[in-house]
Amino acid sequence: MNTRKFERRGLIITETLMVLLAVLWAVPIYYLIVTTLKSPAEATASPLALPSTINLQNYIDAWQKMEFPRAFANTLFITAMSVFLIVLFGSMAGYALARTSSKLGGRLFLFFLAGLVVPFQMNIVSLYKIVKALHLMNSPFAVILVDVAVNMPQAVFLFREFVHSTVPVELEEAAEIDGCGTIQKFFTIVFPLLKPVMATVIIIVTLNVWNEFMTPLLFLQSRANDVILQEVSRNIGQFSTDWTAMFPMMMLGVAPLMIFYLFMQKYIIAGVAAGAVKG
Amino acid sequence: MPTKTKKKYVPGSLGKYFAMFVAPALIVYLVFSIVPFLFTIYYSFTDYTDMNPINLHFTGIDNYIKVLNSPLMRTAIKNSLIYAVVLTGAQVVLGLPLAVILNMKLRTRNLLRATFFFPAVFSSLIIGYLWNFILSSSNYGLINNLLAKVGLPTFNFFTSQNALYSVLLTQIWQWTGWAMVIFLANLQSISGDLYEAAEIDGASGFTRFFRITLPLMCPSVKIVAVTGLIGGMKAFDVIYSMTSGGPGDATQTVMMVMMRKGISDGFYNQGAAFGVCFFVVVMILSAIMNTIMQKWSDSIQ
Amino acid sequence: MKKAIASVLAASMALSLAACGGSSTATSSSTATESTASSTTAESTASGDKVTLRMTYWNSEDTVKALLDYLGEAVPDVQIEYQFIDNSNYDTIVDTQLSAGEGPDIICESPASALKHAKLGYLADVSDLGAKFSDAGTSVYSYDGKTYALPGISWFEGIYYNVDLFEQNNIALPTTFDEYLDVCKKFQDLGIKPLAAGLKSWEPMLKNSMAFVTAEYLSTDEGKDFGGKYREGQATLNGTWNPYLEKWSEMITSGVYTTDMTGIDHDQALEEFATGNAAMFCSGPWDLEAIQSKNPDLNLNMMPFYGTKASAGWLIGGPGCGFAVNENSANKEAALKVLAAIATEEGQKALWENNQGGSSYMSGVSFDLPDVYSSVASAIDAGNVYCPWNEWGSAAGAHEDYGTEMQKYLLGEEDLSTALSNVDAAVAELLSK
Repeated sequence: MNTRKFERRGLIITETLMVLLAVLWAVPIYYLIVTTLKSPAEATASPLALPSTINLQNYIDAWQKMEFPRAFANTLFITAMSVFLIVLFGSMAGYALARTSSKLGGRLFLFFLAGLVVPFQMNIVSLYKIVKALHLMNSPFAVILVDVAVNMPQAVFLFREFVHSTVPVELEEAAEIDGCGTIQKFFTIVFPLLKPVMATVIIIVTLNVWNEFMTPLLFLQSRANDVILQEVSRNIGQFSTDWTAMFPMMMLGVAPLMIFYLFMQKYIIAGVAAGAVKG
Repeated sequence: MPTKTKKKYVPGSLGKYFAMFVAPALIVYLVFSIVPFLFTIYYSFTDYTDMNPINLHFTGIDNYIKVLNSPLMRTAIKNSLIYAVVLTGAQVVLGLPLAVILNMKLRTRNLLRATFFFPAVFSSLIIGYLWNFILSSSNYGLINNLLAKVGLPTFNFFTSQNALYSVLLTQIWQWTGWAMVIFLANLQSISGDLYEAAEIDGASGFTRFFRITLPLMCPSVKIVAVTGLIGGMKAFDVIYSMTSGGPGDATQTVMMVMMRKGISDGFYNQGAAFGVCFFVVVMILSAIMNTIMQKWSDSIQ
Repeated sequence: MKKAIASVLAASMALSLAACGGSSTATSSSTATESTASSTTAESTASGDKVTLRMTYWNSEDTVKALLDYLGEAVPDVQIEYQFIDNSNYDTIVDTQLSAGEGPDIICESPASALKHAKLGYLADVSDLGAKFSDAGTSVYSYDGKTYALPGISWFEGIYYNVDLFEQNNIALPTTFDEYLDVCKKFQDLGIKPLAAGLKSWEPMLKNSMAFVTAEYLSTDEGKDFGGKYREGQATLNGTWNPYLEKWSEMITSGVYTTDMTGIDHDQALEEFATGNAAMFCSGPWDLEAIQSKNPDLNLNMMPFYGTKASAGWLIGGPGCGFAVNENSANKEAALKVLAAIATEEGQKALWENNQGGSSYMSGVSFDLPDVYSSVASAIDAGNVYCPWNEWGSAAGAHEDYGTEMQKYLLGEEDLSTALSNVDAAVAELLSK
């Protein structure tokens, strides 16, 4: 009984300390948000204070200036397509690599992993030529395919480890007895079991693709096709940057990710757990 | 029974389907990641610059010699290593206890988890500019403003000595929550029975952490360590937006030098040689890291 | 998000059913969408009677808004698609595109990139139109006797000062470098920061010190050929610039520039000046709006940089972005028509509209200088606007190295001659390409 009480008190103290730490952790984000609600003069005069009046004008201006609905739709399309292709292709490859013991399979896996280390920035010149040769210039698919390639190693790694350690072979045997082909077996039996690791891949890739700047900049040349970060970067001038206009745009750009994370939270935890079960 | 022996699952029995399953991922990966990298390797042996984009000549290992002789290289490698090691270390040392605590039955734990994770959703562009304002040594730097108000001397976060660590500070703030999420996930896979047994033995919280939790956390530590190391070595965006490598060369990292020389200055060939060296070095580092981790996990099991 | 996952799952399930029947439907269906997507973009550029031209620039659309509006009327059969690329990525992106035989139809060029692109044959010869402009404007955009870009409205950087702070404290405007240091001293004694500077960036000390060297040396008979020789590898900074920079270093020894300033970036320095916490701030017309939005009541003006001898003063500056035409553009004729429209009085006026303060290099076109720049009028009238590194040819990019080396010098990491010889080494390497 005593230990219980002691423990509960310990929990309350821990919780209080954690809340304090979290408040400290959140100060920069708080600062970012209140700055967007103030006029430039007010932001300069009292940076941390709550805004004297809630000034949504900054957001309305940002929304219109960056043509938010269009930029958002473009970003969403690119992100969703990339995530979809990575989950589909990555899980297929990860599954195949987990279910092979051949030397080729092992080597292929290492080959995929090497992609984690390739310095993407050095490749842009030849990447541009490839995209041009494939007639994908100014198409969102140029960005999608490059993003898929860049994020594939991580996805293949996670899927392979997950299948290897948690998807029981017996289940597949049962399906085979029922006369299900390999392809059907993968999509009807294995794929649904991958849900937890899929959540991890989805969140990692979403963050990466959403915040990717160089690829869209390189391949999306008309404003009609551009993404949120390109719109945000329009405020960066040669000599100076328009922060009052930029911060609200940044917030608008990142808000969908925050909401996305809140919804995904429980899946992420479960998913990364799955991915981490066996390293 | 005979059917079972006939159809018995053999690893690798994907047979002809193996190629079909691997092909889509492999093709995209080959075309958009490996082929460009092969070009990079090729360029690293030529005289390819922005002034000479068409008639390439083979120049042997000239570019590699130039890269290794460049005086900035040593500073850049040192900074990159400090950056990668400190960031990875901090993610483990801070993220792990944080995950253990947020795995307790706290009433606000979902909110707390979200708060610590949120910095990870911001692009480095935002992080750089935001922290510039917080760390500034002008009157408007939040921290220095606060220090001045309570009568303490102000602090310049961006001297030659401090700048790298100031950038690291922001990155620890940004990525600790991300590491925490990975650790949390691992924690949840640890069976509660182990703890109950320990509790009966009268083990205290600390003993429990070191005896039971830590050894079982090996897989997630491995993920955080390897990705942290590679990510740290690849660091570019946030340094670019916070210090651009300055003041002087105090925050030049391998990637910063590579982008400056290989892209902005137009020495594509040297940039490519830089990239190839980088690839080799980081591969070796990762392999070493992996071996250490493997030894650790073997010694536990 | 459950829904999102569910829909991803459902979509993959749908594919999986299809895949059960055939071979690799999944991949082929995605390539099908790709090709439709690219063909629609191709159509949209070709459709309509107007020719669509792509134009790239590193400043926001607002800075050329009046020009774009004007071009819409002046060249009605052309539709300009404006692409903004931020300054730090601009050269990389444009170089990559041009080297692949693509690229924008109309390219805004800096002097250094114009020279590079002209040498490589990427730019169309616009000498005919260039003849309408003064040599001061076209010389930085010329190569081998031909002009490859039309100079934009000039840019300049001087020292903004807080008029009220000067008047309230009875401080007169300086007319020489030593007087300037005295002014700084007076403000220091009053407990006011004399000069706000964002030394986290390499730019402020680059411009400030080069302005001094310009006044003392580069503008003299002895020094006026330095840029040309430097570009040919026949001169070095180390051994030439040292005495002038030693003198200029009084900016550091007298505490106007401090090591503490390496923790301040451009925007924070601007803020210090705008709120009256610093008496002066080095910048140009592009920051005026930002300063005024932070403090609409600020009474400010701009003074030039000075050398040790009395003069009209000097400003760092030169021709703004040059308008060039892509030689390999499919719409080269249309693009040249647009340039011809820029090279008219109306075109220059439209360009000036969003760059007020600067002047046009077109012969016979002049604009009123806004009041806020009245103290630099005599410097501008004397033609004392100069940008030393514009003359460095293909080594112009090394001005960044110069700024970085000056940071190290400020921080006491190296002496002046080491700093200068490091810049010389960087220049030599760039010239070797």
